[in-house]
Amino acid sequence: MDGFIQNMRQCFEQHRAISLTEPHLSELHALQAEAQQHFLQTQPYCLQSKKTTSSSIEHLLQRNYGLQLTPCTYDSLDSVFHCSIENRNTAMFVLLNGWYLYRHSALTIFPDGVVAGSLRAALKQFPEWVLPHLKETEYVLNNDMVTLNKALFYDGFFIYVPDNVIADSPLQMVNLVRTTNPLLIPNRDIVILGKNASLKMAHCHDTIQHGKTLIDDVTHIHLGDGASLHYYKIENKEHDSLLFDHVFVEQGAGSRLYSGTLTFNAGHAQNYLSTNLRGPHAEARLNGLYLVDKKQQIQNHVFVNHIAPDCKSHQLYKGIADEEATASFHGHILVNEHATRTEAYQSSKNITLTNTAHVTTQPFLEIYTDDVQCSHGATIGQLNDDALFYLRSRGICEYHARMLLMHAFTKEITDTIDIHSLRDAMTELVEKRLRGELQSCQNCILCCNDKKELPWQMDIKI
Amino acid sequence: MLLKIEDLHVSIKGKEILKGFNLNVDRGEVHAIMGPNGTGKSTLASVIAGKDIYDITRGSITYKDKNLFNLSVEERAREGIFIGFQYPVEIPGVSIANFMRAALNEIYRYKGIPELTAAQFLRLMEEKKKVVELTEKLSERSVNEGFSGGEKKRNEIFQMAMLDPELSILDETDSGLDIDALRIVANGVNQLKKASNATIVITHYQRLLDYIIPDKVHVLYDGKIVKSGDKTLAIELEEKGYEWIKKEYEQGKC
Ligand SMILES: Nc1ncnc2c1ncn2[C@@H]1O[C@H](COP(=O)(O)OP(=O)(O)O)[C@@H](O)[C@H]1O
Ligand SMILES: [Mg+2]
Repeated sequence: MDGFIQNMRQCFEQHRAISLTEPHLSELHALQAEAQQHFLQTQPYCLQSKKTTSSSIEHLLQRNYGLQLTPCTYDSLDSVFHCSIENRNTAMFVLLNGWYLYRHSALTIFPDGVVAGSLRAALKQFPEWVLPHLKETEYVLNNDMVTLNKALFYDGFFIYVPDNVIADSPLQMVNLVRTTNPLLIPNRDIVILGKNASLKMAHCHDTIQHGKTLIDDVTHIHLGDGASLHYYKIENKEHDSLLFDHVFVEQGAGSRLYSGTLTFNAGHAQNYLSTNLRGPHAEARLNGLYLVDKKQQIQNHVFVNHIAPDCKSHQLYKGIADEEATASFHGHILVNEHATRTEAYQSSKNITLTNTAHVTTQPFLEIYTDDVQCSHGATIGQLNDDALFYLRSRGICEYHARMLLMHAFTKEITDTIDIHSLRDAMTELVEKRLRGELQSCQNCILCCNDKKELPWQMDIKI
Repeated sequence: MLLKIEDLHVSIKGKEILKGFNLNVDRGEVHAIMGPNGTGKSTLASVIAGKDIYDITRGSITYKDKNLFNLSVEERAREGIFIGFQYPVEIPGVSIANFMRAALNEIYRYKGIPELTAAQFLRLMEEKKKVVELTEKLSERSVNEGFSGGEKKRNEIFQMAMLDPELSILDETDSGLDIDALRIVANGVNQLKKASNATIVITHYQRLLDYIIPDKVHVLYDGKIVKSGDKTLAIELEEKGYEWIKKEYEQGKC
């Protein structure tokens, strides 16, 4: 672990080189210097908290990560990356190795007033507006990766939807990595929806060229009163990547958050999603799906904080673990004293395909008022033998029978994706993944360039 | 001979259920197997389907001149065996349409017949839905999920119609059906009858046999067929009850 701290010390020094080029960001740099101090003074908590976990990622931390000190150019992207979800109805924004790639400008302002683009540019253009949001990251969850992000980020996505604006086309934010050297990528993203604003977006973690990476992403989301956000996170990383993804949401009265966290491949991934239901009648529907095999490890941590009365939350996380993969779900529901008439539900359903795959699920309900409806449930099991037999007794071979059952299992989550092109792409990805045809590839998973005919169509649309 | 079962002995968890069962079925025939609860009727159907929880201690099953025990569960289905289960399984998330598409594709591939296009498949499905008077959109309904007992049985016959088997074994397809549903199911089975296929109807009551007229009726008791006859045997059984069989069997045994 000392090696990692030493490595981070070097990163902090490199980071100063980036800072010096932009003296107008001095207030940010002060903030970051403080976070760097904080990081060095505390023991990396998340790295030591779970013995099994920390030992299994130790080798991933001993890699001498560097930072990408200069932005990449757009030219280099077109040749390697094409995304199938992107179509004329979807606007796509890309970060390459943590830097915003701009085609026309660093910040796009749409006719309806929606602003999307680079966080760094937004900070430059509207410092008084953006800076307060950067300060708010406290040393939360005892999670040093969040502190590390605060200490090192240099760019990220910025999205703003003004009051009463319904953004009619979905936005797609893609974090791409292309490197041959071990790289630490600390992105910071901010999504702000004004009162009664509405947005659908996908946020993808992807790779176009194999490289050993440590991604440390922090996203802050603010939902104004009555706002509605669909937020889909798609993760497809290679087997030796390390991904920490943190999403912190603040929800105003009557706001709705629909999130879907889909992990297809992960070396080692830790997803943290927390939402504060601050205004009455706010609602959060948090879904997750993971498909892991080999020695992949995935952790999903969800924290739902019921602060105001009359709020609702639903968590549904499902996953399939094959071979020697490890998956865990930690769902924490906190119902505060004043959060009367709360409805909070949590469900975690898991399938293990081998007896070497490992799944744990940990519900944690903390309730300080009587007037609540809460429930939680967790299942870990195998595919249903009776169902397998029934399918086979109609002529379907065991392999396809298993596919059908796994497909059915995942469908409950993919069906909730409310962006059509994304749902279709995800359904197809799940199928490919279940067949073992989707590797963490050098191309973007979303490319799906090779539209080769599948030998057997899993889903017919009528 | 389509199916020939000889001296079949089957046990489960050390308990012998079938104790020397014999049966010959030819194409074009309808057989009824009757018998009190717990005598091994469903066990027979499951053994033919290939469920692997049983110990087959003696005897043989020959189907289309092949040793049935050499075929996997799915190969038996592809060779034309269909079981209408007494308790069909619910499979949430798998639509009936997808299920049948997958099954037909695999059966056709096995037989070397070109697979149906999506349009041909849909047409076939619409045609076969009529056999059991189904009207729902099957692409949206999960297999047996939330179905009533009657709907499940109708769905079994629908599957039978889709797969066009050579040997169908219908296990208590009449139980739990009201008179209308019974008529629909029986009518469906009759429509599917051909000179080239055979059906074994397993039933507890004679009621179904008013609609599906069997060529032969067998009474299963104590793990073997104790009496065989034509359709009048079913009527006699209905009048005298299973006690009659039991008594006769016990006497014969002594
Ligand atoms: N899985 C099982 N484990 C143990 N005993 C079983 C099992 N399935 C069936 N049996 C027993 O086998 C006997 C025959 O059952 P079954 O074939 O279902 O009869 P039927 O269909 O004629 O009513 C019964 O005594 C039943 O208890
Ligand atoms: Mg039975």
